[in-house]
Amino acid sequence: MKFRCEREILAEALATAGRAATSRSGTLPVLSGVRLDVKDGDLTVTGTDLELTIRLSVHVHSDQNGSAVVPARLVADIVKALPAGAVEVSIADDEMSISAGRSQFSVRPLSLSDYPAQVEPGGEPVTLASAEVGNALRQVVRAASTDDARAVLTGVLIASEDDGLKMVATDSYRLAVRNLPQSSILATGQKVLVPGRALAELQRILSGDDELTVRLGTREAVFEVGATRLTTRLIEGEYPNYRNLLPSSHPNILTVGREALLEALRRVKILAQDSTPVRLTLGGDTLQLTAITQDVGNAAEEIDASYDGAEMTVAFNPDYLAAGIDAIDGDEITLATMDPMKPAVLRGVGHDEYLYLLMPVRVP
Amino acid sequence: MTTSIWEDVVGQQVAIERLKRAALAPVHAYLFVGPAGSTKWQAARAFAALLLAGTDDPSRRDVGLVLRGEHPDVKEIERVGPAISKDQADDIVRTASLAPSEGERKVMILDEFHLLRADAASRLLKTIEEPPDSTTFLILADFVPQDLITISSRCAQIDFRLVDEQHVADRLVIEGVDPETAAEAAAAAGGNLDRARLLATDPELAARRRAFFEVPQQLDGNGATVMRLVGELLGRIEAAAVPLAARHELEVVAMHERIARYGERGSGKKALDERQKRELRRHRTDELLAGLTVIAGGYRDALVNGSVRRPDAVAEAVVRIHDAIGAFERNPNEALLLQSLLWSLPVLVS
Repeated sequence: MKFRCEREILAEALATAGRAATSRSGTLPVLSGVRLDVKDGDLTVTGTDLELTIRLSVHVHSDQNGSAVVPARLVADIVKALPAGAVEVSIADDEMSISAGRSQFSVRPLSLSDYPAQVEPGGEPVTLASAEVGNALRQVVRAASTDDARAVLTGVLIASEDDGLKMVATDSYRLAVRNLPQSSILATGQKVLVPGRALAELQRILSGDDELTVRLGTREAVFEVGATRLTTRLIEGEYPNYRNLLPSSHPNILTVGREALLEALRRVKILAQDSTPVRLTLGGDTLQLTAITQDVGNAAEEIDASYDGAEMTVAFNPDYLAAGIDAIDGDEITLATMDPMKPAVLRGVGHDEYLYLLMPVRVP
Repeated sequence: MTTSIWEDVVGQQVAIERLKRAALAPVHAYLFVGPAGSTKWQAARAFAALLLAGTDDPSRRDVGLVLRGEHPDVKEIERVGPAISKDQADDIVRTASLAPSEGERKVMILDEFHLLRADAASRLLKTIEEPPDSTTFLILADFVPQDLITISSRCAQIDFRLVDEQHVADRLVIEGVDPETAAEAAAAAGGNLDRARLLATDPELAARRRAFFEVPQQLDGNGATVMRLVGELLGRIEAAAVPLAARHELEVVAMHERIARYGERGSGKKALDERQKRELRRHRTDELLAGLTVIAGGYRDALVNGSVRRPDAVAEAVVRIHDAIGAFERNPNEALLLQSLLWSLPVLVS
C-alpha cells in the first residue's frame, strides 16, 4: 500500500476513526489499531471497539492499493507532529513508513487478519436534516445515565410515534424528551435504544453537513454524514415508561429569561458546594435563587420573572438545572411545578418540541 | 486439529451429557460448580460454541472462534485483582445489555465467581436474574459461598467433579507425557488436571513425595531433627516452583512481544504480574498440602497394616495433620506450623 495525502486531512481522519479504537485491557489487542484501506484513490480509515465503529473515507493520491492495521494513537501522534504539507505513507511486509519533508518514521503494523470483519449495513437508509438532529442530540444526550450498572438508562430511546420521531433520555434524576415532527426512520410503534456514548460521538461528527443518513437495524444503528460512517450496537432491554413521569397538570408556572437565569445560577452555584441544592423561591414578580453551604457561606440573587401560582420554595441540583436551561431553545423558559416535591418541567417559550423534567431535592 | 468440541473437557461425562441436553432449550444462566482443574472453563467454551453455532462441528468458523476465545459474541471475564471487581461488574452489565455482534445470541463466561465481592454481586444480581433475551450467562465457581446463594438460585447448576486419576493420567499421555510420569503426576494432582500438567514437567516430583513420605520414619523425638526436616521440606517446596516459574517466564516473553507490537497500554501487564504471583502462592500452598497429605497417608497405611505400637497416637497424628491442612486457610507462618506439627507427630518404625 502506498499513498500521499495532505497532513491536515490525514491527521483529522486518523483522529476521528481513532476515537473508536480502544486499548482497554481485556479487549483484543488489535482493537488498539485503525484499519487503513486504499483503493483507487480513496483511503478508508476504520476504528472499532466492537461496540462503536467509526469509518471514514478521504481522497488520496494512491500508487498502490492495499490494507493494513496500524497503531491508532502512535500513528495519529506522528502525523499530527509532522510539518504541514504532503505526507507519504507506504506499508510493505512488516513496516509502515511515514515521511513528510525531511522527517521519516517507521512503525510496525498490527495483524490485519486479526482485525474484526466489517459488516456492510443493511436496512433502508433514511435521510434527515443533520442540523436538526444535531440540536436534538445536544438537548437529549446530556440526560442519559453514565452509570454502566444501569445499562438501559445509558441509552437514548428513539421511538416512532404518530406525529414523528421521539428521542428520550433519563438518568432517573432528570428526563429529556425531544420531538422531531415529520421525521420518520422507523415503522410506527417501533423503538430502539442507542448507546448515549455513540450519539455523543455522532454529535462531534455532525458539523453543519446538510444530510445525515440513518439505518436502524435490529442489532445496530448506522449513521452516515458525508464520508463518515458511525456504527453502534444497540442496547437490548425494556426502557422505563417515561410517560408516567410526566405530570398531568402544572398549576404553578414561572416564566423567566433564559440567559438571566443561567447567569444568576452560574454565580449562585459557586456556593452550592458538596452537592447542596440551589433553592428557587417562587412568588410575585421576582425569582430568588439561594445557595447555602454549611460552614462556608451563602449566596442569593434576584431576577425578574413572572409567576402564576402558589408561593413556594423548590430546590434542585444546580448542575442538572443548569444543564436543562442550557439545552432549551428560545429566549424565555417556563418552569412548571405542582409542588416542591413533584418533578418540575422546563420548556422554552414557543418551543414545545423539547421538555426537560427535573426531580427536586428535599430541603429542610 | 480438534475432533470434538468436548475434547478438552476431561472425565466429566455426566456434565457433558447435561450440557448437550441443555443446549436444546437453553435457559438464561448456568452455574458450573466444581473444583479447580476440573475443566469447567473448557466446558464453558464448548457449551458457548454449541449455543452460538447450534452445532458441535469444530471445523465451523464460529465454533473455532469460540474455542480459541476469539468470538466477538462470547465475552470471557477473568478477575484482574483478587476478585471480579465493581468496575468489572459494570462492564459485564453493559456488555450484557448490548445486542450481539454477529448472531442472535451472546454468551458471557464469568470465571472464579466464588471470589466475587458483595458490592459486585449486588450490581450483577438483576442482570443475571433477567438478562436480555439474547444473553446467556455461564458462571464458573469452585464452590458456592453463602453470599452467592441468591445469584446461584437464579441459575441452572451443572456439577463438575474431581477428574479421576486414570482420566488425568490418560490425558497426560495423550499430551505426550510418558506413562510413568503421567501416573505419578496424576496421583499427586488430587484430581486437578491443570496441576497434573504442571507436575508432569517437574522432575523433582517423585523425590519430593518420597521426602514427605519418609518424614514419620525420620522423626526421633529430637527438636534438631524436626528443624532439619522442616528446612529440607521447605527447600523442596521452594524448588517445586521452578517449572511454574519457567512457564511464567514464557508468558512474560509473550507479553513483551505483545507490548512491542501493540504498546504497553491495555497489555494486561499488571494483571499478568498479579496472576502469576497468585499462581505461585497457590502452587506453593498446594504442594505443602499435598506433602502433608502424603505424610497422613503414611500414618494411615501403618495403622491399617497394624504395624504400629500405639494406634491411638497414630490416629491422633492423622487428625493433627488434617488440622494443620485446615490451618493453611489462615495463611500461617509455614515454618512454624510445620515445626509445631512435626514435633507433635509420633515416630514410625519402618
